[in-house]
Amino acid sequence: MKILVIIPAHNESKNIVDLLKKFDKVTLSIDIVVIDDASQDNTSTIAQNMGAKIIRLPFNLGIGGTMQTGYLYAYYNDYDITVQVDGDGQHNPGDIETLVNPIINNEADMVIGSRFIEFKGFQSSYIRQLGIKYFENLIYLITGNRYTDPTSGFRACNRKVFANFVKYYPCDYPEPESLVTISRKKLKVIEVPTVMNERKEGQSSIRSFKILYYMFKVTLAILIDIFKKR
Amino acid sequence: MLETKLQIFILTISFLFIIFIFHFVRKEILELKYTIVWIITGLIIILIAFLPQSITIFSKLIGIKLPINALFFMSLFFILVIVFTMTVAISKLSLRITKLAQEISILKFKVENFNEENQKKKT
Repeated sequence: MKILVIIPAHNESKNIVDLLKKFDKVTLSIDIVVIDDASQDNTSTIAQNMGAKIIRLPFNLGIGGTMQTGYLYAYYNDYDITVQVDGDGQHNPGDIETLVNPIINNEADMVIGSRFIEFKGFQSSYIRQLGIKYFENLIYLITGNRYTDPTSGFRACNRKVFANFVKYYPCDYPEPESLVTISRKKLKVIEVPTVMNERKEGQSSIRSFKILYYMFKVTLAILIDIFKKR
Repeated sequence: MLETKLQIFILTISFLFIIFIFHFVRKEILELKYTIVWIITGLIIILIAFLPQSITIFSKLIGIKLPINALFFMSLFFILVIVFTMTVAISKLSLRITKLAQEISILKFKVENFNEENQKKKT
């Protein structure tokens, strides 16, 4: 099983070192690729000096386009499994094995790391939890499955799933929408408990009025997805 | 009902407009595909300038009391159609540019790696 860890990073020079160091403890045989979404700081130089493989985008594509680059790379290079680990350091590389195991054992096609199963580690603000609860219920209405952390980017996918993402992946706020797409394709998505960290440096990309835009856009995208061909 | 002076003015402008578009397509600056909606708009304006009664007929047909409002309705409609075709074109372009950027970045990565490996072999 060839496993590729995809790290999307945009201006994460302060977080990337700690994150890459944590990979030393991972015993699983994995390849790591950092996708630098046209950072203005020296994210890519730092990552390269630490020996990471780095793909640099010529201009900013946003999280969706960045992740799709990773999926495309995995697709071209015959990887069996991809794992997304965000460059801001909120996901723990130590949890990768938990994420990948259900796929290796053929128990699932996509595995999402959820912070709301064991409620350990960083739990996000109250208002965000409310938004996540809303998506949990919306997705439950549509797919009949309950996912406690639909906005989590910490996910492992098998080839069937990321081949779909190569064809189409939403350009911004892709997590809940892509979850619905995959779930409606009768591919099995499960959640495993993970512990997430609060980001140390920088701000989340989703704040203030963007929250409203996020809620609106993602709701619409999920509703439109129902009418797409399977 | 339409003053001849105005009629000539509108006709001249419309004709110039169509010639202008034709010129751009001929020079291969504009893709014919994206100019068709403009050409049709121009032709309809010419038709209206030649036969101003057509507006009255059209307004009666769809139940607009004042013919001038039918004219406003039509112009707004065409502008919306044109703007929409633009949105479609831009969206398509941005998808393609994204795909290009992704392919290029992966290709660049491969070339860099390839060069490094070759240098290692030489030394």
